Amino acid sequence: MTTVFDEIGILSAATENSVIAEARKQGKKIIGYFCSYVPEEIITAAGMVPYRMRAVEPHGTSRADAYYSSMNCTFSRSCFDKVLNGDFDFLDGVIFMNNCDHTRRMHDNWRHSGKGPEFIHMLYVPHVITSDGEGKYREGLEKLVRELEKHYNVSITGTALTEAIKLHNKKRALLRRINETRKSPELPVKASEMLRLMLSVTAMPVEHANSLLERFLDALNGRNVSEPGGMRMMLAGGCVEEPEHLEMMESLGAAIVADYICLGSRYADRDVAAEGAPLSSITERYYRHLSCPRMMNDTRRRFDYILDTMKDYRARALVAEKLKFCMLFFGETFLYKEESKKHGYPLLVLEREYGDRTEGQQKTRIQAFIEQLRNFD
Amino acid sequence: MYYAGCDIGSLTAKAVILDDNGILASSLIRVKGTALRSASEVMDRVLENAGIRLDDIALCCSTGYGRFDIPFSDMHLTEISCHGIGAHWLNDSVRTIIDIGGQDCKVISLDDRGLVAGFVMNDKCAAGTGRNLEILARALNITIEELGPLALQGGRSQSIENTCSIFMELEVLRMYYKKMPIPDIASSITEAVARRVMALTRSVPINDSVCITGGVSKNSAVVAMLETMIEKKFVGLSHDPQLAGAVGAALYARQKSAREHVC
Amino acid sequence: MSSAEMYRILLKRLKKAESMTGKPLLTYILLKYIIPLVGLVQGKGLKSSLGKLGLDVKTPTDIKILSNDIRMLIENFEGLISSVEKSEPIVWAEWSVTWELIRSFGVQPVCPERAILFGLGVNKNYGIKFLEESEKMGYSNETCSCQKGAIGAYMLGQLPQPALLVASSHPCDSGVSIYQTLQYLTGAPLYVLDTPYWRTESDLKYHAGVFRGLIEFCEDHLGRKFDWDRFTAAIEEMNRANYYLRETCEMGRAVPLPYYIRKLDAMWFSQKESPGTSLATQNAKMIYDKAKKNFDKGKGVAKKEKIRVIWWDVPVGFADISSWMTEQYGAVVIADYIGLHLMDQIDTSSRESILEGVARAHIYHGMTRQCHGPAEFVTAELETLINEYSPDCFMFSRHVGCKHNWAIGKIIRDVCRRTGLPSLFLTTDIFDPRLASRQQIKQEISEFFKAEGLA
Repeated sequence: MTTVFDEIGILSAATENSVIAEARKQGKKIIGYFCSYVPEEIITAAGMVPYRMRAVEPHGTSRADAYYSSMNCTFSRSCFDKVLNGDFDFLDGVIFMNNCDHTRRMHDNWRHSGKGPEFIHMLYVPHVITSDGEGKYREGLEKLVRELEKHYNVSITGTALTEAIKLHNKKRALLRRINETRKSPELPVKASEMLRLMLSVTAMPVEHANSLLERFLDALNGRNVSEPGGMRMMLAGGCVEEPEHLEMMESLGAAIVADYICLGSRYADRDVAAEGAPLSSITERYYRHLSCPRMMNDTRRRFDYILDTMKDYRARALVAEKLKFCMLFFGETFLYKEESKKHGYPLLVLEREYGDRTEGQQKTRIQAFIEQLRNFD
Repeated sequence: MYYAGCDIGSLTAKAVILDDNGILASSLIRVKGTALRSASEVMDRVLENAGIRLDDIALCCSTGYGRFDIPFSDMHLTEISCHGIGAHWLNDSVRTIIDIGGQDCKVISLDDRGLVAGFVMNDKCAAGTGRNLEILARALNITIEELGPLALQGGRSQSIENTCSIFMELEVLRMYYKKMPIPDIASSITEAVARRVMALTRSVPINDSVCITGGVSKNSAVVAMLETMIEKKFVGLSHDPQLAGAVGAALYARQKSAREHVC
Repeated sequence: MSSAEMYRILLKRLKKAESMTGKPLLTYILLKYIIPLVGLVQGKGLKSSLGKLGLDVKTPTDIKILSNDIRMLIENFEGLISSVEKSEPIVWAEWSVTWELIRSFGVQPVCPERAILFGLGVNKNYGIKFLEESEKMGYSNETCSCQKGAIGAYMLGQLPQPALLVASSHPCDSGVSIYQTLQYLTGAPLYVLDTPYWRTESDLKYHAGVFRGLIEFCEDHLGRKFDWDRFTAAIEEMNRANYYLRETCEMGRAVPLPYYIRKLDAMWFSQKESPGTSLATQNAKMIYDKAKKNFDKGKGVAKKEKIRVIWWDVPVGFADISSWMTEQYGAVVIADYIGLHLMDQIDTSSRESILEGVARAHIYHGMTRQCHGPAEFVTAELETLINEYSPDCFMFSRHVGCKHNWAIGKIIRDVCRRTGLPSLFLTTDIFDPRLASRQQIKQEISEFFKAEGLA
């Protein structure tokens, strides 16, 4: 019998999964988006399906390298390589934001490549959290709404936004409940499974995602996947998108119980307020949710989140990951080192490339770190 | 009871057999096509040296890059932990290890029990590794074994500025074409490689008692250069430092066996 | 290294240099006739140092410009040292932030990214120590040396403790990241000049508000009032300098090229660090006058101009290579990221208009202008230069820190291909000779010129 875990295994491994393909058959438009500052609610309210961009089923980076260079991050290069290979031809539009130098340049390269779709939008998000910045971000969202309406000849109404908020709040609430189960000493779900779940539910209509999440939550009841001697850890980083990478860590004795990653708890951070003007509520939530290191005046809050979460989830150590050439997470992991000294938690910083091209060394680092932690037992 | 440690690195494979009294035999070979072939061959040799059979081994622990692929091993531990255990057993004053192997370089700090307190590894860049030395030696048409003695004869070295191993090779070739004396170039090479290693030592504090392990510990010029840079003499080990990882693996197997017996 | 030792060493040297350049005609005669004649070793050293400072000293006017540059640096260094000694507040201002705004609080600014350039100015090893210090803390080869230099210099006591930090959010992730690190390490409050991605009127209005916020932030944290009169006077003076600089750059269309790009590059620094000073304006005017004279006579700065180069990115640490190119190949650099001054005049009729003008100037500041938004901001400027400035080739430094530049190689290459312009893409770090040495860069340029039949 196929379990929900098998189901997410299949869904997460595909660029265009069966649910997305079915939605397309039913005439739904699929809109790709990058990063956590693009509100899915707006896409849903437009009657379309938000699809978080990814680089699963990678083909390497050779095509993308003609546009990018060896100095750019391998996630962006792998993802753009898929663009050039036609893997994302099923998308009806793409929304970028000025998150980092590598993805913002994909907005340029994609347009330059002449590969469709026609609608390739850049949402400007300020790099600071201020009241003026919030106004500016809202202006960007209003522009996004206008352009979606104009391009697709649709109307994004207040009612539709309110309905979308409800659905996406439910999705976030379910994800938070699932995450909460990881506080238990008897771990009901592995981090690699969580990542598969996230990859699945960020590439399908929200209604379908919610039903999948409900089934997933039910399946966790009474489940225990703890391994003897598993080391409870928190994982921090931006682009950690390969379940196989987490499986490798798990095979070496890591029990990742909490995270601060884009496709993890940050996604479900908190709800959009149900009351008030819907676009204002969306603006507030997406602008002020648990930030990414691109936000220059929110560093302390991010570090406090890690400290609090490690405590709540009884994580013994922090594993922080960054992709090579990612300056944003370079700075962040650099400061984790200072924080770990100050607060006395063990820390392993891993620098790697998308697709684990340096797996041997990573294994040695992770295993040695766990061995080191066991020395203190 | 016999315990084996098998360390399959990127350039060499090492094996050590311990009994309850100490090291019974050891063996070191150049790696073969696969980790399994290397492990089988180095084990065959060490068993022959010890005059025992594989069945006589109570427990075997593997380490090194090939540690996952060895069917006759009962457990695996990273080379970081194994070098810690091994070096500390070979000299219990050791608190820091600089391990320079074929494809990577590590600085490991130990507590007074010989357990790893912290470590740092080079990234995938080859600069500062045995492979780096080998490539640069080859650029001069000499072997890695010849490089050390030649470098010690070299005069005041001209610095190789590049930190990337590929550009380092180009710089060495440029020196060669300029007809700089080979010993001087060799000296520059060892200085450049030692500098790359030193970049790692900045992240893990160098404690008082430092030893060097791994294949590059045999290169007298790099060793001398590093000693100058860290302003300390390396402490000696009572057995071949290149075998420290395999010794540590065998010791771990012995400890594990003792613990299981107690339990 | 003792506290702010680097600035003290350089100040001493600058004063010596000032005494030598104080009489431009005499220095000119010394450099042109006496040194070559008697081969004074010290004199040769002076000539080479002056060259590396970024100025080709070929005429008494060049020496006067240099003398003014030295004076501006002296005033900044003295201000800094005096602030350190008197425990006055110092504000660290990111490279794109105009100092006059900070100075209008009666406070001395310092640019952290400049530390590596000054460190290398003391001597190569001194500067490299800054880089090594940050590498010791975990910074790697592919991180920007300007940022690494700032961290290293601070850790080694060469950047004085800041009261405040002011950073900009674009053009690069390195800046976004490093200022959070600097805030963490120094404990000083950080103000971020959030720089928009686009350049619509609404973006400029938002950005003007960000500058208004900066003034409020400084007033709150420094406990000092902003001197609007001083600031307005400085902006008016800056306008004068910017007029000359823009006019000079317009003359770049002429063949042969009537200006030396390095003097315009140097003005990028002085317009940021000594803006609104009469010395900066004097220099801008002298650069303009000289270019105009050449332009009117149809004369070029190279004896025989053979190759016209667009040198993209910022060749700061290796700026003297452009002089070498001129001497060796008759190659002149028409424009780079920072030497092309395109500043509009700022309307000083009201505080609002000043802030809007300052916001616009910040976005149009060389390097921010090309890199803060979509690739079109890079290519549009490049295409204008190709269409109007008659280049023979294009060179791209590709500083390792500028990942956004590395990410649009094909887009730039395609512009060059479409317009038939030969292109060279280098791999450099503009301050770190360990990545690509001066020698390597020269060799690549030589091979490129020869391969393309330009030399």
